[in-house]
Amino acid sequence: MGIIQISLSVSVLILFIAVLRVLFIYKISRNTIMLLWKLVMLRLLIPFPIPSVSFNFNGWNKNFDIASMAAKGLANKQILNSNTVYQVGDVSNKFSESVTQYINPFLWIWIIGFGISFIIFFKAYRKSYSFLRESLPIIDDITVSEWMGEQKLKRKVSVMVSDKITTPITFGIWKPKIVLPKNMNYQNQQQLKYVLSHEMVHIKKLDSFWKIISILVSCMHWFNPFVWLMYTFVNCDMEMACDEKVISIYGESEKSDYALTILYLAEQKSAYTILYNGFGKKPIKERVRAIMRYRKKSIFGISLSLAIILVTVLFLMLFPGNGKSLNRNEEAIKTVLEQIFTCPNQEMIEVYNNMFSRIQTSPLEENINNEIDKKLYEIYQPYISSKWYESFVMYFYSYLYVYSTTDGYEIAVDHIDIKRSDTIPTNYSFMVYLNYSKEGGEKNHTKIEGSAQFLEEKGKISYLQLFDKNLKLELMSSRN
Amino acid sequence: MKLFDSEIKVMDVLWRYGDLSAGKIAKILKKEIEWNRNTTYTVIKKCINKGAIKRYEPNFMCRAMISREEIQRYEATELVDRLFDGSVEKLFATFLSNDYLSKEEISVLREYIENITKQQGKKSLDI
Repeated sequence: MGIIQISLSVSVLILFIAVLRVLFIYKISRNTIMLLWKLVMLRLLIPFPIPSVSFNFNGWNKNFDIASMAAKGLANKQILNSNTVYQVGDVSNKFSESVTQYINPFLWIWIIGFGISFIIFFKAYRKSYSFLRESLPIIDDITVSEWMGEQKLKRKVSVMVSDKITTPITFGIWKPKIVLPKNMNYQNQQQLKYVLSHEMVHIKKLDSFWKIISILVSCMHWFNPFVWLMYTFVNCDMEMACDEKVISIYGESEKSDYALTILYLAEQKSAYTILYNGFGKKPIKERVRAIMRYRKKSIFGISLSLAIILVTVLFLMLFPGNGKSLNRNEEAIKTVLEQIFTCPNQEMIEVYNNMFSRIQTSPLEENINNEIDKKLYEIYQPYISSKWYESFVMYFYSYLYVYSTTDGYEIAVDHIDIKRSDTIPTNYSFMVYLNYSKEGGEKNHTKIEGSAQFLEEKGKISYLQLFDKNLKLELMSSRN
Repeated sequence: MKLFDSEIKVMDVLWRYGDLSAGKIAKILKKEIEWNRNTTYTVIKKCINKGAIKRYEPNFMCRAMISREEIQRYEATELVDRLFDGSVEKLFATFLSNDYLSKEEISVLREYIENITKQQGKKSLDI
């Protein structure tokens, strides 16, 4: 389950950003931090590794890929107990089936965890939403109408009032609504404008959308406390980034007035605002402090921000990955198949000839097959898992011989299509396209289907199946 | 009884138009304040629970069981108790000071007070 890998490697990044936001609290803008969180959240949304541009830590992945660990355990048992390993035309999927059954418990645990988290959020959402939708439109307020006239936004924004909330709340993505509490001083025009501008910034930055994303991500990674930590950071930083923007609009001279507005509104008890951008209740002290210490960022701050953003993007693109191991698996399949289906295979022919001549000269010599075994080991061992190697040689022996050394035939691999299973990432299916011709004859094409499994190590086949009757029969009959 | 703004809004429709079906109320409010049907229905239910609206068949007809005046009196009393120590005088003092009322409004009030006094006077005479 790649999601665990991603979750864990991104946790490192979360920690990194968390430290940065404290260290450079006044040097880099909160908006920069928000950008970082948004990048991280987007990455966490995608539950599988990005291939090709990725590395992996071999040891790490082994330990944390719980599903494949479990599958491995069962797979080993299967191999040792089974007597019917490979037969031509054996289309048995028994192996994959039993592995699937074993993986499911972990998937189920995740689903349950996700479901519970989701339900908790959903209930809170419904509670808030039920009284927000009963708000009434504001009428006859000059300040509000004036302010609305000044706003330029594609989406239509409505300002409402409700007697059930005590701090302003903004919600809605396509039809944003700002809901103001009834018990607010509407005579104080300056204050009203600050509030409206603050909410407007939330709307412009699509904060409602990002809040939903943060909740979705927290549910998906319910098992990861770092992601929950990030969730609290996101809520806090979102408000502060908004404050920053408001001050940059009104100018640093109005910092204290704005801070006072926040304090005043914070004195009211606030409603449950999980899904909506309130005026922010919790870290009021932090916010006021940040506002008062707001300053345009220095060149140092800006370059630092850019550097951090770059590092973050690089990290997210590179870790974690199945990229390399994906290629290693495919590489193993390709190399093994190319070795098997290259005829005449000069190396093998040489070895067999040596063996034959030795049999002629000293027929009683022991270990005559040693040379062949050594050669096969040399060629195939790097791509076959150590546990299965013996079986591989045993069952493929005759076929290796036939496919690669049959007189008068030329066989070559045209190309190989390899597909990784969607459900079981350690299973691959492939199609080998071969060109072959009998000496002097016309060129023939054929394709052979097969599958490979990598339950031991990445890059080492732990089980191989080839579904071919025709070519082998033809080759064998021509040998006779 | 204590009604929230949303509930008063629904009552307002009934006060203006008399008995209506829930569907009709929803339509009107959809046009006036853009509430969707579910919202209106939820608020109507809350009013029914509080006894402000009575439902009768057919078709989920609604009748206002409390008048606008009753609510006004309730809210006003609430306000006086809450903010003016239960003293109506203090409330009026607030209005009368600070140029809150225009000359016309003050003379209307004065007439009103005189009428009330006369009525009260009559009552005491009858006794």
